[in-house]
Amino acid sequence: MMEFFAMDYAFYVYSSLLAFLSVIIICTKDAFRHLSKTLGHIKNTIHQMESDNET
Amino acid sequence: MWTFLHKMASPRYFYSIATSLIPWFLVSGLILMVAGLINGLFYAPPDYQQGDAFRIIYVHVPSAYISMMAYSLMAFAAFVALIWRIKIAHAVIVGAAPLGAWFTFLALLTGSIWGRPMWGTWWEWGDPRLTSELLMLFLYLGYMALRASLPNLAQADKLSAILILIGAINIPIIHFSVEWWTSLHQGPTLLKAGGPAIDSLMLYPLLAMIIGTTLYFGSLLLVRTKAEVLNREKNSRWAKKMLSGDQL
Repeated sequence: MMEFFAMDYAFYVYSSLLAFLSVIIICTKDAFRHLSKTLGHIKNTIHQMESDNET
Repeated sequence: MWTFLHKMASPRYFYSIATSLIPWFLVSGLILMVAGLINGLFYAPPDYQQGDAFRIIYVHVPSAYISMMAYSLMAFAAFVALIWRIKIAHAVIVGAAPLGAWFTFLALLTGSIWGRPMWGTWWEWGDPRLTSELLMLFLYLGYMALRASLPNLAQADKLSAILILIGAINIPIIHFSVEWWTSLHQGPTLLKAGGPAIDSLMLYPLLAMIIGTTLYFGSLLLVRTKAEVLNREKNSRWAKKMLSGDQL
């Protein structure tokens, strides 16, 4: 564990790594959430239109 | 090739191809990124001048590369959309913009973190590479703000594509800024005459990171473009049929 932080400029190297990993997580979650929200919204609209047609 | 591109212009075909490609791109991209990061951070030798601080290259260079590649892709798609009026091209631009903005922000942030120990400053306003990259972040944000401000889809598509094409002039400026003007930023390492000026032990993890991040970007671009295509095609027969049949 000590070796992990013993690197020169460890603060700068691991801060960059943390920033990179954070952006990767944010982008992944955001993209899949956006797709799932779009799918849900369109499905609801279709169901709404179908039930309106039935009545 | 032309047949494939012609087919890809069909929203229905694009949707089905994207659905099958996403897991392959995502998994292979993440594997390469993990391998590149582990090798770059723990097995590559330290730089003789910068010591271990050089390891920031493994997150900074892929981010900067994606930020420029995403904008170039958007400019190409804007050109295709305006000349040939292909609807998928607008969806690709919409999908790429937020990803490009995030990676540009990341390139600026990691560059700033690298600059502090090496240059003695977090930011230098007079530096052409830093300011032209910041301008690109504003172009991404400006594109998204312009789209959000225009309620008419056709008008938003056209005006935002024109903005993207005008902003494309910034791409060669970013790339050649370190050669054209005096800059704190180092010169090109990989794309230079006579081959990359970097030892193979440092180079291979970097290449793994660049290819891995590109595949990862590709997978998320497909996810976002799929959502945009579906949104635009929600009234078409194929989309309704697919959604009512739960073929997701």
